[in-house]
Amino acid sequence: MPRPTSALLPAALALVGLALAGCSTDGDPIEASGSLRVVGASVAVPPNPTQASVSLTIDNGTDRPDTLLGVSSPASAAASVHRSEIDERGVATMAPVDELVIPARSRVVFEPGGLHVMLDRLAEPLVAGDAVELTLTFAEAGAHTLTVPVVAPGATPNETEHDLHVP
Amino acid sequence: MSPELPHWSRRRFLGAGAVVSAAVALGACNLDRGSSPDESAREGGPTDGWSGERLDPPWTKPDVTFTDLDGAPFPFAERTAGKLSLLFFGYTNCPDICPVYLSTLASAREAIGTGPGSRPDVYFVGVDLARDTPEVVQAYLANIDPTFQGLTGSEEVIAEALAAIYAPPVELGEPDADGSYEVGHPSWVTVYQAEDDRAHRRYPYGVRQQDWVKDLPRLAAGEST
Repeated sequence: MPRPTSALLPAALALVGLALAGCSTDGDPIEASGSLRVVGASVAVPPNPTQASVSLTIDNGTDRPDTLLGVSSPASAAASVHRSEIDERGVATMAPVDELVIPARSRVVFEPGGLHVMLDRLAEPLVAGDAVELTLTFAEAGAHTLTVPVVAPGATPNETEHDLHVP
Repeated sequence: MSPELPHWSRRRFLGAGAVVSAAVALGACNLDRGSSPDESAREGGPTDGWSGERLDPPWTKPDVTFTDLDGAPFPFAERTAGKLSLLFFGYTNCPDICPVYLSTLASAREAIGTGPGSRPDVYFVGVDLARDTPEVVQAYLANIDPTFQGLTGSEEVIAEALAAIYAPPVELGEPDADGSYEVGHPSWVTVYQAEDDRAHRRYPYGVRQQDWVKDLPRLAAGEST
Protein backbone atom coordinates (compact mmCIF):
# COMPACT_ATOMS: atom_id res chain seq x y z
CA MET A 1 0.00 0.00 0.00
CA PRO A 2 1.42 3.41 -0.87
CA ARG A 3 2.41 5.46 2.13
CA PRO A 4 2.08 9.22 2.25
CA THR A 5 5.30 11.15 2.48
CA SER A 6 3.73 13.19 5.19
CA ALA A 7 0.90 11.98 7.37
CA LEU A 8 -0.32 15.54 7.62
CA LEU A 9 -0.72 16.16 3.93
CA PRO A 10 -3.92 14.25 3.23
CA ALA A 11 -5.59 15.70 6.29
CA ALA A 12 -4.51 19.18 5.29
CA LEU A 13 -5.87 18.66 1.78
CA ALA A 14 -9.14 17.38 3.18
CA LEU A 15 -9.48 20.46 5.34
CA VAL A 16 -8.79 22.74 2.41
CA GLY A 17 -11.49 20.89 0.51
CA LEU A 18 -13.94 21.37 3.34
CA ALA A 19 -13.24 25.07 3.55
CA LEU A 20 -13.50 25.65 -0.19
CA ALA A 21 -16.76 23.87 -0.77
CA GLY A 22 -18.55 25.38 2.21
CA CYS A 23 -21.82 23.78 3.14
CA SER A 24 -22.01 21.49 0.12
CA THR A 25 -18.89 19.66 1.23
CA ASP A 26 -18.99 15.94 1.81
CA GLY A 27 -16.75 14.29 4.27
CA ASP A 28 -15.59 14.72 7.83
CA PRO A 29 -11.99 13.79 8.62
CA ILE A 30 -11.37 10.31 10.05
CA GLU A 31 -8.37 8.29 11.11
CA ALA A 32 -6.54 6.24 8.52
CA SER A 33 -7.67 2.62 8.47
CA GLY A 34 -6.27 1.65 5.09
CA SER A 35 -9.67 0.60 3.77
CA LEU A 36 -12.91 1.92 2.39
CA ARG A 37 -15.83 0.75 4.47
CA VAL A 38 -19.58 1.11 4.41
CA VAL A 39 -21.06 1.02 7.91
CA GLY A 40 -24.50 1.24 9.46
CA ALA A 41 -26.48 0.67 6.28
CA SER A 42 -30.21 0.39 6.91
CA VAL A 43 -33.48 1.09 5.20
CA ALA A 44 -36.60 1.94 7.17
CA VAL A 45 -39.99 0.63 6.07
CA PRO A 46 -41.33 3.64 4.12
CA PRO A 47 -44.86 5.00 4.41
CA ASN A 48 -45.03 4.99 0.62
CA PRO A 49 -44.65 1.31 -0.30
CA THR A 50 -43.14 2.04 -3.71
CA GLN A 51 -40.12 4.03 -2.61
CA ALA A 52 -37.52 3.82 0.16
CA SER A 53 -34.44 5.68 1.31
CA VAL A 54 -31.25 3.92 2.43
CA SER A 55 -29.06 5.45 5.13
CA LEU A 56 -25.40 4.49 5.39
CA THR A 57 -21.95 5.82 6.14
CA ILE A 58 -18.96 5.54 3.84
CA ASP A 59 -15.60 5.65 5.63
CA ASN A 60 -12.66 6.18 3.35
CA GLY A 61 -9.75 5.36 5.60
CA THR A 62 -7.33 5.25 2.70
CA ASP A 63 -4.96 7.93 1.56
CA ARG A 64 -6.67 8.32 -1.79
CA PRO A 65 -10.04 9.80 -2.69
CA ASP A 66 -12.56 7.50 -4.29
CA THR A 67 -15.72 8.26 -6.25
CA LEU A 68 -19.09 6.61 -5.89
CA LEU A 69 -20.21 6.19 -9.48
CA GLY A 70 -23.53 4.46 -9.06
CA VAL A 71 -25.88 2.29 -7.04
CA SER A 72 -28.23 -0.52 -7.95
CA SER A 73 -30.49 -2.98 -6.21
CA PRO A 74 -32.51 -5.99 -7.32
CA ALA A 75 -35.21 -4.80 -4.90
CA SER A 76 -36.21 -1.83 -7.03
CA ALA A 77 -36.54 -0.89 -10.68
CA ALA A 78 -34.37 2.16 -10.11
CA ALA A 79 -31.78 3.19 -7.54
CA SER A 80 -30.01 6.51 -7.35
CA VAL A 81 -28.12 8.82 -5.05
CA HIS A 82 -29.93 12.01 -4.13
CA ARG A 83 -29.25 14.92 -1.90
CA SER A 84 -32.05 16.65 -0.04
CA GLU A 85 -31.50 20.26 0.80
CA ILE A 86 -33.40 23.01 2.50
CA ASP A 87 -32.74 26.32 0.82
CA GLU A 88 -32.73 29.81 2.28
CA ARG A 89 -36.49 30.06 1.71
CA GLY A 90 -37.09 26.97 3.84
CA VAL A 91 -38.05 24.99 0.75
CA ALA A 92 -37.07 21.32 0.77
CA THR A 93 -35.68 20.21 -2.56
CA MET A 94 -33.84 17.19 -3.84
CA ALA A 95 -31.29 16.76 -6.59
CA PRO A 96 -29.69 13.68 -8.13
CA VAL A 97 -26.00 13.16 -7.43
CA ASP A 98 -24.30 11.53 -10.39
CA GLU A 99 -20.85 11.15 -8.92
CA LEU A 100 -19.90 11.52 -5.29
CA VAL A 101 -16.28 12.02 -4.29
CA ILE A 102 -15.32 10.41 -0.99
CA PRO A 103 -12.19 12.33 0.02
CA ALA A 104 -9.22 10.48 1.46
CA ARG A 105 -9.50 9.81 5.19
CA SER A 106 -13.05 11.07 5.25
CA ARG A 107 -16.45 9.94 6.33
CA VAL A 108 -19.54 10.71 4.26
CA VAL A 109 -22.87 10.14 5.97
CA PHE A 110 -26.06 9.35 4.06
CA GLU A 111 -28.95 10.30 6.34
CA PRO A 112 -32.42 11.85 6.17
CA GLY A 113 -32.30 15.47 5.13
CA GLY A 114 -29.03 15.00 3.27
CA LEU A 115 -27.59 12.33 1.04
CA HIS A 116 -29.56 9.15 0.57
CA VAL A 117 -29.81 6.19 -1.74
CA MET A 118 -33.31 6.19 -3.14
CA LEU A 119 -34.86 2.90 -4.12
CA ASP A 120 -37.61 3.80 -6.56
CA ARG A 121 -40.39 1.51 -7.74
CA LEU A 122 -39.77 -1.27 -5.26
CA ALA A 123 -40.66 -4.69 -6.59
CA GLU A 124 -42.39 -5.53 -3.30
CA PRO A 125 -43.18 -3.56 -0.15
CA LEU A 126 -40.34 -3.76 2.37
CA VAL A 127 -40.89 -5.74 5.56
CA ALA A 128 -38.97 -5.08 8.79
CA GLY A 129 -36.60 -7.94 9.50
CA ASP A 130 -35.95 -8.64 5.84
CA ALA A 131 -32.95 -7.32 3.94
CA VAL A 132 -32.24 -5.91 0.51
CA GLU A 133 -29.12 -6.16 -1.58
CA LEU A 134 -27.48 -2.93 -2.61
CA THR A 135 -24.49 -2.63 -4.92
CA LEU A 136 -22.26 0.43 -4.67
CA THR A 137 -19.82 0.99 -7.53
CA PHE A 138 -16.69 3.00 -6.79
CA ALA A 139 -14.12 4.22 -9.30
CA GLU A 140 -11.22 2.78 -7.30
CA ALA A 141 -12.71 0.15 -5.01
CA GLY A 142 -14.98 -1.31 -7.69
CA ALA A 143 -18.44 -2.78 -7.19
CA HIS A 144 -19.45 -4.14 -3.79
CA THR A 145 -22.75 -5.61 -2.75
CA LEU A 146 -24.10 -4.98 0.74
CA THR A 147 -26.91 -6.69 2.56
CA VAL A 148 -29.00 -3.86 3.98
CA PRO A 149 -31.35 -4.71 6.85
CA VAL A 150 -34.92 -3.42 6.65
CA VAL A 151 -35.84 -1.78 9.95
CA ALA A 152 -39.11 -0.54 11.39
CA PRO A 153 -39.78 3.20 10.95
CA GLY A 154 -37.91 5.10 13.62
CA ALA A 155 -35.81 2.09 14.62
CA THR A 156 -32.16 2.51 15.50
CA PRO A 157 -30.04 1.52 12.53
CA ASN A 158 -28.25 -1.78 12.70
CA GLU A 159 -24.51 -1.54 13.19
CA THR A 160 -23.58 -3.57 10.15
CA GLU A 161 -20.15 -3.17 8.63
CA HIS A 162 -19.06 -3.82 5.12
CA ASP A 163 -15.37 -3.71 4.55
CA LEU A 164 -14.56 -2.85 0.97
CA HIS A 165 -10.92 -3.73 0.73
CA VAL A 166 -9.17 -1.47 -1.68
CA PRO A 167 -7.04 -3.44 -4.10
CA MET B 1 -40.68 4.54 -22.46
CA SER B 2 -41.44 8.25 -22.56
CA PRO B 3 -42.68 10.00 -19.45
CA GLU B 4 -46.44 10.36 -19.18
CA LEU B 5 -46.13 13.90 -17.89
CA PRO B 6 -45.61 16.01 -21.02
CA HIS B 7 -46.87 19.20 -19.41
CA TRP B 8 -44.06 18.98 -16.86
CA SER B 9 -41.33 19.09 -19.41
CA ARG B 10 -39.53 21.83 -17.51
CA ARG B 11 -39.35 22.91 -13.91
CA ARG B 12 -42.63 24.50 -13.27
CA PHE B 13 -44.17 26.48 -10.49
CA LEU B 14 -47.66 25.54 -9.42
CA GLY B 15 -49.93 28.54 -9.12
CA ALA B 16 -47.09 30.87 -10.06
CA GLY B 17 -49.55 33.66 -10.64
CA ALA B 18 -50.52 33.77 -7.00
CA VAL B 19 -49.24 36.62 -4.91
CA VAL B 20 -46.39 35.32 -2.84
CA SER B 21 -44.90 37.23 0.02
CA ALA B 22 -41.22 37.08 0.74
CA ALA B 23 -40.28 33.87 2.44
CA VAL B 24 -38.75 34.05 5.85
CA ALA B 25 -35.18 32.91 5.64
CA LEU B 26 -34.50 29.74 7.55
CA GLY B 27 -30.76 29.98 7.11
CA ALA B 28 -28.89 27.71 4.74
CA CYS B 29 -26.79 24.80 5.81
CA ASN B 30 -29.14 23.69 8.55
CA LEU B 31 -28.42 20.14 7.49
CA ASP B 32 -24.69 19.88 7.32
CA ARG B 33 -23.44 16.41 6.66
CA GLY B 34 -22.08 14.64 9.65
CA SER B 35 -24.60 16.14 11.99
CA SER B 36 -27.91 14.49 12.63
CA PRO B 37 -31.13 16.47 12.22
CA ASP B 38 -31.20 16.55 16.00
CA GLU B 39 -27.89 18.31 16.21
CA SER B 40 -28.69 20.80 13.50
CA ALA B 41 -31.88 21.76 15.29
CA ARG B 42 -29.99 22.24 18.49
CA GLU B 43 -27.19 24.22 16.91
CA GLY B 44 -29.34 26.42 14.74
CA GLY B 45 -32.32 26.61 17.04
CA PRO B 46 -33.59 29.58 18.99
CA THR B 47 -32.36 30.17 22.50
CA ASP B 48 -35.60 31.25 24.12
CA GLY B 49 -36.47 27.78 25.41
CA TRP B 50 -38.70 26.97 22.46
CA SER B 51 -37.73 24.78 19.54
CA GLY B 52 -39.95 26.56 17.05
CA GLU B 53 -39.14 29.89 15.47
CA ARG B 54 -41.18 32.80 16.77
CA LEU B 55 -43.51 34.44 14.25
CA ASP B 56 -43.95 38.07 15.08
CA PRO B 57 -46.46 39.27 14.10
CA PRO B 58 -48.29 35.92 14.27
CA TRP B 59 -49.67 34.40 11.08
CA THR B 60 -53.35 34.06 10.32
CA LYS B 61 -54.69 30.83 8.87
CA PRO B 62 -54.91 30.23 5.14
CA ASP B 63 -58.40 31.31 4.16
CA VAL B 64 -58.90 28.44 1.75
CA THR B 65 -61.14 25.45 1.28
CA PHE B 66 -59.11 22.27 0.89
CA THR B 67 -60.63 18.94 -0.10
CA ASP B 68 -60.56 16.12 2.42
CA LEU B 69 -59.77 12.54 1.48
CA ASP B 70 -63.45 11.74 1.04
CA GLY B 71 -63.70 14.50 -1.53
CA ALA B 72 -65.65 16.83 0.77
CA PRO B 73 -64.83 20.54 1.09
CA PHE B 74 -62.64 21.38 4.08
CA PRO B 75 -62.73 25.11 4.89
CA PHE B 76 -59.51 25.18 6.86
CA ALA B 77 -59.99 28.20 9.13
CA GLU B 78 -63.54 27.22 10.00
CA ARG B 79 -62.86 23.54 10.65
CA THR B 80 -59.78 24.12 12.77
CA ALA B 81 -61.17 27.02 14.79
CA GLY B 82 -60.34 26.77 18.48
CA LYS B 83 -58.09 23.73 18.04
CA LEU B 84 -54.33 23.26 18.22
CA SER B 85 -53.61 22.54 14.55
CA LEU B 86 -50.34 21.58 12.88
CA LEU B 87 -50.06 22.14 9.13
CA PHE B 88 -47.46 20.50 6.89
CA PHE B 89 -47.16 20.57 3.11
CA GLY B 90 -45.43 17.59 1.52
CA TYR B 91 -45.78 14.83 -1.04
CA THR B 92 -46.00 11.09 -0.80
CA ASN B 93 -43.02 10.42 -3.08
CA CYS B 94 -40.84 12.48 -0.76
CA PRO B 95 -38.08 10.05 0.19
CA ASP B 96 -36.89 11.32 3.52
CA ILE B 97 -37.83 14.74 4.84
CA CYS B 98 -41.60 14.16 4.84
CA PRO B 99 -41.67 10.67 6.39
CA VAL B 100 -38.99 11.56 8.94
CA TYR B 101 -40.76 14.73 10.01
CA LEU B 102 -44.20 13.11 10.18
CA SER B 103 -42.83 10.08 12.04
CA THR B 104 -41.14 12.40 14.54
CA LEU B 105 -44.48 14.09 15.19
CA ALA B 106 -46.26 10.75 15.51
CA SER B 107 -43.72 9.53 18.01
CA ALA B 108 -43.93 12.80 19.99
CA ARG B 109 -47.70 12.40 20.26
CA GLU B 110 -47.23 8.87 21.48
CA ALA B 111 -44.59 9.94 23.99
CA ILE B 112 -46.82 12.68 25.45
CA GLY B 113 -49.50 10.03 25.93
CA THR B 114 -52.42 11.89 27.45
CA GLY B 115 -53.13 15.40 28.61
CA PRO B 116 -52.46 18.78 27.06
CA GLY B 117 -50.65 18.65 23.75
CA SER B 118 -51.17 14.94 23.26
CA ARG B 119 -53.87 15.33 20.66
CA PRO B 120 -53.01 18.14 18.26
CA ASP B 121 -54.73 17.95 14.90
CA VAL B 122 -52.04 17.22 12.32
CA TYR B 123 -52.82 18.08 8.69
CA PHE B 124 -50.77 16.86 5.75
CA VAL B 125 -51.45 18.66 2.47
CA GLY B 126 -50.32 16.62 -0.53
CA VAL B 127 -48.98 19.18 -3.01
CA ASP B 128 -48.06 16.76 -5.81
CA LEU B 129 -51.50 16.70 -7.37
CA ALA B 130 -50.75 14.04 -9.99
CA ARG B 131 -49.46 11.46 -7.52
CA ASP B 132 -50.99 12.48 -4.18
CA THR B 133 -54.42 11.03 -4.87
CA PRO B 134 -56.77 10.63 -1.89
CA GLU B 135 -56.16 6.86 -1.86
CA VAL B 136 -52.39 7.25 -1.89
CA VAL B 137 -52.40 9.93 0.81
CA GLN B 138 -54.73 7.83 2.96
CA ALA B 139 -52.48 4.79 2.76
CA TYR B 140 -49.38 6.92 3.33
CA LEU B 141 -50.71 8.54 6.50
CA ALA B 142 -52.11 5.25 7.79
CA ASN B 143 -48.54 3.95 7.78
CA ILE B 144 -47.34 6.89 9.87
CA ASP B 145 -50.19 7.86 12.20
CA PRO B 146 -53.80 7.08 11.32
CA THR B 147 -54.95 10.17 13.23
CA PHE B 148 -53.13 12.48 10.81
CA GLN B 149 -55.56 14.05 8.36
CA GLY B 150 -54.82 14.34 4.67
CA LEU B 151 -55.94 17.26 2.56
CA THR B 152 -55.68 18.11 -1.11
CA GLY B 153 -56.80 20.97 -3.28
CA SER B 154 -56.54 22.58 -6.67
CA GLU B 155 -53.35 24.28 -7.77
CA GLU B 156 -54.93 27.62 -6.91
CA VAL B 157 -55.98 26.52 -3.43
CA ILE B 158 -52.55 25.15 -2.61
CA ALA B 159 -50.83 28.25 -3.98
CA GLU B 160 -53.04 30.48 -1.86
CA ALA B 161 -52.43 28.36 1.23
CA LEU B 162 -48.68 28.50 0.68
CA ALA B 163 -48.82 32.25 0.32
CA ALA B 164 -50.49 32.39 3.73
CA ILE B 165 -47.46 30.73 5.29
CA TYR B 166 -45.09 32.96 3.32
CA ALA B 167 -43.83 30.02 1.27
CA PRO B 168 -42.97 30.07 -2.42
CA PRO B 169 -45.16 28.09 -4.85
CA VAL B 170 -44.66 24.35 -5.24
CA GLU B 171 -41.80 23.59 -7.59
CA LEU B 172 -42.05 20.56 -9.84
CA GLY B 173 -38.78 19.25 -11.21
CA GLU B 174 -38.18 17.95 -14.68
CA PRO B 175 -39.19 14.27 -14.98
CA ASP B 176 -36.32 11.84 -15.44
CA ALA B 177 -36.29 9.00 -17.97
CA ASP B 178 -38.66 7.01 -15.74
CA GLY B 179 -41.08 9.88 -15.30
CA SER B 180 -40.05 10.46 -11.68
CA TYR B 181 -39.73 14.07 -10.63
CA GLU B 182 -38.88 16.00 -7.51
CA VAL B 183 -41.14 18.40 -5.71
CA GLY B 184 -39.99 21.47 -3.81
CA HIS B 185 -42.18 22.11 -0.76
CA PRO B 186 -41.95 24.01 2.55
CA SER B 187 -39.91 22.05 5.08
CA TRP B 188 -41.52 23.40 8.20
CA VAL B 189 -44.65 22.71 10.25
CA THR B 190 -46.82 25.73 11.06
CA VAL B 191 -48.57 25.53 14.44
CA TYR B 192 -51.89 27.35 14.86
CA GLN B 193 -52.88 27.77 18.48
CA ALA B 194 -56.36 27.26 19.88
CA GLU B 195 -56.82 30.56 21.73
CA ASP B 196 -56.51 32.99 18.86
CA ASP B 197 -56.34 30.71 15.79
CA ARG B 198 -52.98 32.19 14.91
CA ALA B 199 -49.52 30.74 14.42
CA HIS B 200 -46.93 32.09 16.84
CA ARG B 201 -44.29 29.51 15.98
CA ARG B 202 -43.17 27.41 13.08
CA TYR B 203 -41.01 24.31 13.44
CA PRO B 204 -38.24 23.67 10.91
CA TYR B 205 -37.22 20.21 9.80
CA GLY B 206 -34.81 18.73 12.29
CA VAL B 207 -36.72 19.53 15.47
CA ARG B 208 -36.29 16.51 17.71
CA GLN B 209 -39.04 14.33 19.10
CA GLN B 210 -38.15 15.35 22.66
CA ASP B 211 -38.45 19.01 21.72
CA TRP B 212 -41.94 18.47 20.37
CA VAL B 213 -42.73 16.60 23.60
CA LYS B 214 -41.63 19.70 25.51
CA ASP B 215 -43.30 22.30 23.28
CA LEU B 216 -46.66 20.72 22.40
CA PRO B 217 -48.08 20.87 25.96
CA ARG B 218 -46.99 24.52 26.20
CA LEU B 219 -48.59 25.30 22.85
CA ALA B 220 -51.74 23.51 23.97
CA ALA B 221 -51.74 25.51 27.21
CA GLY B 222 -51.80 28.73 25.23
CA GLU B 223 -48.23 29.82 25.83
CA SER B 224 -46.69 31.65 22.95
CA THR B 225 -43.83 33.68 24.35
